[in-house]
Amino acid sequence: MSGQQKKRASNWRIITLVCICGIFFTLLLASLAFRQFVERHEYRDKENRQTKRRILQPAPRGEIHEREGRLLVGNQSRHSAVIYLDQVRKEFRSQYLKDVRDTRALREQIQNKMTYTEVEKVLGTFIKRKEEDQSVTFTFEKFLNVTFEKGVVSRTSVKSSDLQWEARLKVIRRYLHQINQITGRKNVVSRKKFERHFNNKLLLPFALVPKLTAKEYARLLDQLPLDSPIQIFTDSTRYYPYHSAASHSLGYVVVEEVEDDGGELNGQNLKTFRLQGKKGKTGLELSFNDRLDGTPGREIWRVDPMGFQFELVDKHLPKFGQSIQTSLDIDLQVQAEKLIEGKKAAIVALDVQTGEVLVLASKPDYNLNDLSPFISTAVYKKIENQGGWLNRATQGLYPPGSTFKILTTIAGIRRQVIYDGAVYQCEGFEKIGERKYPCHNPRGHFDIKIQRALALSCNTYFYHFGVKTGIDHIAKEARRFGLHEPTGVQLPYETKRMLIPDKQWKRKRIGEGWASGHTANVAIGQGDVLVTPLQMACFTASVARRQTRTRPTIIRIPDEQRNNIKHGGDAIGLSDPQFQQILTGMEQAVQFGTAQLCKIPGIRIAAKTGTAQVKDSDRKSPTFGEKLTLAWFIGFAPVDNPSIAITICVEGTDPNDNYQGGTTAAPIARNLFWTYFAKKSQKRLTKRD
Amino acid sequence: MLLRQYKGFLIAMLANGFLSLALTELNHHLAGWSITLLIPAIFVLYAGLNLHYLQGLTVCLLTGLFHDAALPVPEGFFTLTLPTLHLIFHHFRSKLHKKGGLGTILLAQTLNLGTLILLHISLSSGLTESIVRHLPLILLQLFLSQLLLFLIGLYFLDIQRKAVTLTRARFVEAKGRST
Amino acid sequence: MPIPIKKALRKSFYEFQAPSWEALSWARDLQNFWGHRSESHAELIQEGRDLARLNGAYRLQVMENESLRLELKRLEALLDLPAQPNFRYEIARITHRQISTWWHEMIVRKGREDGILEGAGVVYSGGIVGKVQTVHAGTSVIRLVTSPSFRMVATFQGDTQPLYIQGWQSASMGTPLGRIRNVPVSVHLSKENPGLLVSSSLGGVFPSGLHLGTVDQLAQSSNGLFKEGPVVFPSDLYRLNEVAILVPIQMNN
Repeated sequence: MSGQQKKRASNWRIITLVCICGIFFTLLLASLAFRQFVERHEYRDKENRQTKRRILQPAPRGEIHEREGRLLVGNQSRHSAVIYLDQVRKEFRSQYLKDVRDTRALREQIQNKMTYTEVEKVLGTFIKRKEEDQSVTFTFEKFLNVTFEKGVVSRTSVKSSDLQWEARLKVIRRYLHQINQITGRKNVVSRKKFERHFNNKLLLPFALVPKLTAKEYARLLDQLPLDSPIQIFTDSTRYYPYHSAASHSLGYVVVEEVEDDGGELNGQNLKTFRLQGKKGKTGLELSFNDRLDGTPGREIWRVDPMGFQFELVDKHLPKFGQSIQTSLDIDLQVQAEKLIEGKKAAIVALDVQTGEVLVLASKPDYNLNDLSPFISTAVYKKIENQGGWLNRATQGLYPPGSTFKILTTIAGIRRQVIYDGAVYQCEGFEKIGERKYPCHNPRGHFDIKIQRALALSCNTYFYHFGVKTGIDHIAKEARRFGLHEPTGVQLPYETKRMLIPDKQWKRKRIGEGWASGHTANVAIGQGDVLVTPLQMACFTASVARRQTRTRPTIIRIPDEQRNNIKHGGDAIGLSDPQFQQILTGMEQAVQFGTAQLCKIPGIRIAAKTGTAQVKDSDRKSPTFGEKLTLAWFIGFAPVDNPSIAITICVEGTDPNDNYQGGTTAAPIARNLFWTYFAKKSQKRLTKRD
Repeated sequence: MLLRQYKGFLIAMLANGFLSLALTELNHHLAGWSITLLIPAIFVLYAGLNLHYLQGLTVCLLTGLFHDAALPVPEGFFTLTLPTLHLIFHHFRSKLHKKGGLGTILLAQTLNLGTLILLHISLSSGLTESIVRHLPLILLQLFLSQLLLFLIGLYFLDIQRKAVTLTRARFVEAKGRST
Repeated sequence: MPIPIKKALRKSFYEFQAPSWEALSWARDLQNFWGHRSESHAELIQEGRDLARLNGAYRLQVMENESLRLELKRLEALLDLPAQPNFRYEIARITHRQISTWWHEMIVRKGREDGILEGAGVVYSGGIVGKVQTVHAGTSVIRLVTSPSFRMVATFQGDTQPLYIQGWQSASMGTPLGRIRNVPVSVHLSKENPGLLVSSSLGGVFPSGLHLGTVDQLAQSSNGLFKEGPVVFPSDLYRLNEVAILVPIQMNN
């Protein structure tokens, strides 16, 4: 091949090589560009995930106030002494290096072929001993492991991770010692607890003393330098100035890690450290959890390879939750609870016009402050044994007894069975079928009209006219008043198991036909009728307003909306004279009838008492299966312009308890009416002044 | 002999000491208005313009150490800045009049202002809020410091020079007697 | 340079010049003395009369305090309460003040030789001055209550809830300021209804009830849990010539 040919061939090779290289470089550039421009977001995300951490802080919950603005649930600060680990990093490091030096110095003193006695002279007694096949390894102080084979040293080693943890712990213990010296405590910190925090919550402060007393808090503030790594960390716990008052209505909170509020918080893809927040568990705390819960605070930190804070990238302060104002009147509530202290009972008082719940008391209850910041097992069991968890006003199901006679009357009047002239001869019993149904007065009430029948609570009158009205009409009327369904008050776990029995129910549930005797029982609020005290309070308020429904609310209605409240029911469907008969009967009950123990001179009260019998169904109770009495009271006042409706239900706890609506519940009602009207007139006087 | 050799150094040290005390007293009285006046440049005037380089540097170093011990400034601030100022003065000493003059005043004012600004910047890291809120008071202090330097700078330099001249006469006199 | 060397250097240079400050302070006292010497007899008589009146009032107060002290002792014994911490008041003249945007300090003419301890409280007739920051042989540095690195526990007069005060750099000439933090949200203050802050004995540094300053505005803190606001300290705080250092008396003494 000539030189020229050779040169040409070589040129071709060079061109080919250049082309190949060019293609590779273009591909390389293209792929670089693709990663830089197209996949930029993906890499940015990866980088963020690796180098950024998010801390979520809880926001203080909103407060709960009563109708006059007094605080029912507030926040109380809780202080703890914490240490921010990133601030002691240098100390960790220098302590570790010092420990390494010390260990190395010790290790150098141990030479092969030394016996255990010689080693012990240098290192002291061992901490741990581990035997293997042909060797024994002793761990001495400073995590120095010395392995003996055939009785002499064969190997020495140091577990550096142990040394590192110990160095960190030394620093932490030094600071804890400082706190102990100032506060006089004797707190200790375990390696396990510290390791867990270090590995999982490095960015969060490590609590050295979780709950400081006021004195300890003051001492630390006064005596710790401002730039100390020990800081006073403040969070909030719920605080209940009225202790157990309205405990079931207010509810309590449980500790839970702060949650994202979905979308608003940036950095949701980042590794997140969450501080402990609170979540409503029952009562208003649960119903209005979203409103009471504020917006959590957020910090985004750039971290170093070890995971310590390096730079604050973004910070949003937590926002206070919204406060709510309940309709509860705390004076009345406290008084009501005092009146039923030591009993199993429920009281509900409603504003007749607005349906606002003024009182919702249930005993036994619990001191809310015992449940904050957390519920101990002992407290939980104590409340459970007392039956305190049950809100009897909204969850307790009871036969309404004679208070149901108001409904039977309304049904009878509307069916035109009961009318003003209708006179009934009460002989002390009513024979229905083959069975005699007794009146509570065995001598009978003789000639009796509806007004006296209500006033004296004549059972036979209502057996007679109840049967005449028929179960279909009584049940229909009860349903018209909403006694078959929950009231819809803004409290969680209101029972749905209330019962207005009728023929269909009997056939479907028990598989039996309906007999007149069943109607007679239902007519006096016995049998299978089951209602809650809150339902009966709504029923009372509805009757007082001559309507069929009352929509109860535990949230205070603003003044401008008070005159425009729609409860959603119909008119009661009685003419003035017909309604007057009921009103007169209820008023006479107070004047000379069964409810006369609630009489207050100068205040016209319309009321109906009831005494029902119920079988104890609590298997844990010593009186299981025995018959217990229930004392009922429903009433409203003043008669001409009703403003308050009260319902009381007191459970007998012993078969020997002779609880009666008239003697047990009526005096409680009298005290409550008195408190209510005294406060009202006091207010009027203050306003006038 | 030794005294003669180091008289400039001793006089500069004494003068700086007295001036420090006077400034302390002035600041004590101004404290009621939250004002502190600082004129670091004045302490290097004489040393920078008249003393031998090493002697001047030593004066500035010692004065810096005294200042650092007396004032709550960042560790070693004056120990570093005063020798640096001395270095600058020494560098320009051939172009400046040893007794002072406009050039000296201007340089002293510039260096003093620079040092104070540096000091304020280094101290501002301890602020928990925006420096803007404090700017009026800081500017007032800067202005008053500069004014004080302007008013007493040359006098202070002159006093030191005169003290040296006086001591020289005495030394000469003493020497004359002995011979 | 290693920290121990830096510290030693600073300390030795401090101690070296401290006598000159003391001398300056003595000279100032002497100047005052001669200044008073030149006052006329009439002026002195008037001053003496005023002083006598003041002394009379103080004597009464001392008697009242003594009876209260005895009552307190009786109640403590009755309830078996631990005794309140006792303090010895070490009066100290101020050699000089260092107050500016950046620092809030005073140097006093009492030091280690007089039993002064670091962290001890410093008071004057108008209330709290600060705490002893550093103790030297014959002098001590006091960190004023207005220093941003100062923190102490306080309460509103008549209340027991512990709050804390932190110094705050004053942006105006000669107005000593601080910030009160951890005030419960239920506290409402206004110019017409300001709150008076007093010291709390809970912290163990100061006795309770010493006047601190007034607060007339509060705003929600950043975490929403508390309120906080500016505290105005007495205006003579920056013009003091003499203070009292609280030296705790050991229980066994």
